[in-house]
Amino acid sequence: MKLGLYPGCSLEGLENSYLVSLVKSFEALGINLEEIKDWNCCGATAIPSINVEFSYLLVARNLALAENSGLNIVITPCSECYNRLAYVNYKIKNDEAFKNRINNYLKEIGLRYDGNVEVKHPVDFLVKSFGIDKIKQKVKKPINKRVASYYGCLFVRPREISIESAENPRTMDQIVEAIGGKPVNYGFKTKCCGASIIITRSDAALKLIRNILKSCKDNGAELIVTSCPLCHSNLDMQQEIVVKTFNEDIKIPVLYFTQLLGLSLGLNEKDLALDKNLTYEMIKL
Amino acid sequence: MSIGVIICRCNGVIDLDFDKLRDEISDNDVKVFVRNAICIDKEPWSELKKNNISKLVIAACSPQFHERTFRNMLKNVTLSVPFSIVNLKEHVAFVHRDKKLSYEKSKAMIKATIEKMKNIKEETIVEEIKPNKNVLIIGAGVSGLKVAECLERLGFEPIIIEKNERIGGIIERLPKIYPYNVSGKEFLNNIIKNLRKTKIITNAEVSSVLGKFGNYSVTVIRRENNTIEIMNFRVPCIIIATGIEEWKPFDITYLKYGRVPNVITQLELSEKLMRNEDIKANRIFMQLCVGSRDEKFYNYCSKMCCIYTLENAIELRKRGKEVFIGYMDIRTIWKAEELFNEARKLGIKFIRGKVANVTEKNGVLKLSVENTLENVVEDIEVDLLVLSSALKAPDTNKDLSQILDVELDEHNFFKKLYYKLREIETRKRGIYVIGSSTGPKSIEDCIIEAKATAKKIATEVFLPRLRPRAPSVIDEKLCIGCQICYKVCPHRAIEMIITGDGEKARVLVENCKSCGACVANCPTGAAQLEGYTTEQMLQYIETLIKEAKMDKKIATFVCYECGYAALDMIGIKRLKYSESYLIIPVPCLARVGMLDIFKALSSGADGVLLIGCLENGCHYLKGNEYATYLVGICKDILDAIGVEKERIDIIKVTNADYYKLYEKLVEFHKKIISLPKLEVGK
Amino acid sequence: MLASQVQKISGENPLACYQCGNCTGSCPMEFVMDYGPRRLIHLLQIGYDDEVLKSNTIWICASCYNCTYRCPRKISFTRMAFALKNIAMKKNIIPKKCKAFYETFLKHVLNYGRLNESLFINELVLKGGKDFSEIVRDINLGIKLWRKGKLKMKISKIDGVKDIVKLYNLTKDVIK
Repeated sequence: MKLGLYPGCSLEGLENSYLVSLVKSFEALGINLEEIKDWNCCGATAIPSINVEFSYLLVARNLALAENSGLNIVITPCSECYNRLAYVNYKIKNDEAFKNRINNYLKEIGLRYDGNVEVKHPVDFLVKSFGIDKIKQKVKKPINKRVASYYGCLFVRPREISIESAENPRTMDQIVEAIGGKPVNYGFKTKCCGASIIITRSDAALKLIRNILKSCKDNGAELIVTSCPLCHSNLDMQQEIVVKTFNEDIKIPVLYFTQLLGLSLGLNEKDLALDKNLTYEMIKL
Repeated sequence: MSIGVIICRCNGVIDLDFDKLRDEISDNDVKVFVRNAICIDKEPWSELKKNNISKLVIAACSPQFHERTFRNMLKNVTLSVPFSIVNLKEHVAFVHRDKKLSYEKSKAMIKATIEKMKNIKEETIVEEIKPNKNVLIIGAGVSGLKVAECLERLGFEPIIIEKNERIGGIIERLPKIYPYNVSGKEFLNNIIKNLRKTKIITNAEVSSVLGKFGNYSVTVIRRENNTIEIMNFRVPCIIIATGIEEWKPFDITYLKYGRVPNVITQLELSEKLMRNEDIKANRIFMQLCVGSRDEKFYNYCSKMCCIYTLENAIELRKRGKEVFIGYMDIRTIWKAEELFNEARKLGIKFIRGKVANVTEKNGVLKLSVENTLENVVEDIEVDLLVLSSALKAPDTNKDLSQILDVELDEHNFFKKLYYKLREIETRKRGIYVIGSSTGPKSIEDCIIEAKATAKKIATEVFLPRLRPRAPSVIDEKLCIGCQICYKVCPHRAIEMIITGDGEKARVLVENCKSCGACVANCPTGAAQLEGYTTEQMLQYIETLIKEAKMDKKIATFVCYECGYAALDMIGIKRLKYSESYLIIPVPCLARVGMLDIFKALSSGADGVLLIGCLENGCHYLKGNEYATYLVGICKDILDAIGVEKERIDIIKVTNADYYKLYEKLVEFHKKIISLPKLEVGK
Repeated sequence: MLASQVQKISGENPLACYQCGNCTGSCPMEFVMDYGPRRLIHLLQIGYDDEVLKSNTIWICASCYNCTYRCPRKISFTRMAFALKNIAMKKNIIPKKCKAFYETFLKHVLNYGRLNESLFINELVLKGGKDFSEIVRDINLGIKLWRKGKLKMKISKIDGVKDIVKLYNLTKDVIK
């Protein structure tokens, strides 16, 4: 079975470290990924705001390209992209009229999508398809830390695309456990970080970030792991601004779960682009 | 042996060329009597008696109005003959303008009925059950106990099976029940103390049920302290009174039920109050509609939670607590409004909204809830959050429905036979369903149903009953054991038995309601229903279509329930439609088979219309569903042989919605006359 | 009526809402909204179309789908907000900062097929998508990112840009 990869714009841009660490740690687990050729932007939340119909087509084009190159599973690391791809995929698979409508448009650019692709988030793939036990076997350096897993919104909601409870998800905690960490239970696992409004309403978004960081810190977390470039950029990049704005000691290192996974598998920090994190200096392992 | 035909002039309403009619119908075996107002005048009936007829066709008005009158008239002159009614009033005189065509239609219908009567064997059948005195009741809640009490008074000795250790169901946990103003326990004790002959078996479950109305044999397993006891009972009837349960809202994770000790359900609070436990919390928030009215969990209103929530809130408020109630709508039906009124006056704080977040710190709960009347999200700190969780069907209903072979609805509640007229019956005769086992009900409703059921059982079991129609019979020699009838029978009145000659179907006579589904679907003609046998139906259809001398003919299959009544209603309203509609009454559309439809077309009908009960409103449960399917197939066949498929159609109506039927009749007729004449034999 | 227009675009029927307020209670952004989601739906139901389109609610919605997940009526405010934004944008009722953001985003998608984040942020600042105070605040962050080598100046452009533009032209007049 070929595994496809849809990296998304963010992983190509500011959050390249997620892509680097994902590919490296997956390689270490013996999983190879094949990038969808000529993929385009999923539209994020911006394009649906401009034109819902167009946003479906942006996604459908990617799915059609994946289907054409025989990729049955597409790994979508960015939660935002995962949300769009998985939702449109769900609609196409479950709504015949919708599918026909989309294909009518796709015909104009010489494509067609029949719904044979499965969109999977890497967390979902590791836990449900690859297997926690297999990860456990490959751990070389257990991470002995209290780790708060931050899931964000778009990986667990809406219902149609979610693989588990949106109120108290467990999958990433399972990975943390498998690599020797201690999962921290806290109330803001799936609370919004405000990524989609960080530019247009940064005042409000900063408050949301602060709440998440505080909750993690209050519950004794030493690290935060995320599975989404947007959450990461909010919690990591914006952290200094948040700390300054609210004048509270809520500093905490924020890593991609793939970075932590890679470390436990014996990869070095440089390979996992750990130093690109703005909170890198705080990490004490 | 001769057939009498009595035609009523109905004071001139039925106005045909009677002389001509008499000439055309009469022959050696058929004697025609044209009389007036035969519903009042006894004279014609004595005359029939004198003429020594053996079968009778009554051409008058709808059997809905005067079937019973005619039966009594016959009884008065001590004439016991099978009879059939042709409706010349509501189906002809009231609805048609053209005299000549009306005559043709009337003549055809009378002649066809005579043909049918010629080879009818039917005698009136009176059935009598000689049962033992036990009745099995499943569930010892308020409904189960009450029905036992009523049955005892009527001379029965009920047996109640309860799966739990405690009896009393949900009511037993309530500290105060509305409108009786006593505790649930007290209320139940008042019933239980009257039970003298009732046997209550707790920790027990029904494991198998066999047999038919009047004689069900039931196996019950009782488990206690690692011992298993198996009991067998023979009972004429079984009553399902399995009631409801409170849903445990673990799945609404953000409410933290099961994770924080001071988040409890309303019935858990009730139990505490009933045990007179001290409630330490001072600020209490009660949230209504938890899981009810929610498309993700239970999309219905649980009906009773508002009432017992208010009872508990009032009690706590009287103890000096501060009580909040989060609600969307308060549904205190009818007089229970007084509870709401009292709660308001006591200063209980009503917040229109739903708790959306719960955080707990040192035993204090911080709730955030939108006050939708104030448009603000409020943070409320309380010591106890009480969730009025949805009332749901017990999970055991699924197994029980398999064992009893009765249906469940989409929420796992038991299905009533017919929502308007047969509320306490199931598809299997002799198995009744009462109280909350069909959905949440108030205590008053449960008691009414319990009483009604006891009375129904007494009349069904003790009184001889006149069967409206003979039951189906299956000719064992013709039966090939294909199980089709077994599968289509809506009332589960056919059993498969192993004989020396292989598997055979047999009718459970008492459970058969004579709908004819087995007849229409039997591939070998083994299953027959007297009055509507394959031969009788084909004979009727052929005579009807051939005798009517008119340009366009539409064979109209009408079920004797809503279809016939709706057609009568059009008559009463004097709406006019085409004479082309030639009526073929059937007990239920389930009786219409492919053979009948094609017989009509090959006899010269240009179109076929089926009129039956509303969707989900069939009096025989599945008839309209089967007919819809059949019409689909017939359309495909017509299409395949190059005949316009619009010639066949079905309409499902209630009599209240007669105008819809009227419009359909007009529209369908228009369609048929626009089509070319159908060539016979094509 | 705006409500039916919303239903047409989003597939969600605002009239099915029974105003329980679970969405507003669950909304992380409610504290900066003119109207909470429930109230906005109410305004839609009773036909206060102008108030709906002029409210900041739809622009603040962070698309976290919390309301969607919890809605007892199984309707999605998030998707309604998308539809409302479509309509408002067509009518040019849009806050200045949002306009800059969405226009720049769309430009990137139509010109390159992808979003080039570093360039995107630069353009946004030029277009007035950021307040002066925000720029000052973020300047340190920019320097840090530069030092870390996170800012990428190479532009990534896909081969199928023509197709993307074609798809856009096919759908741009769906909303009236």
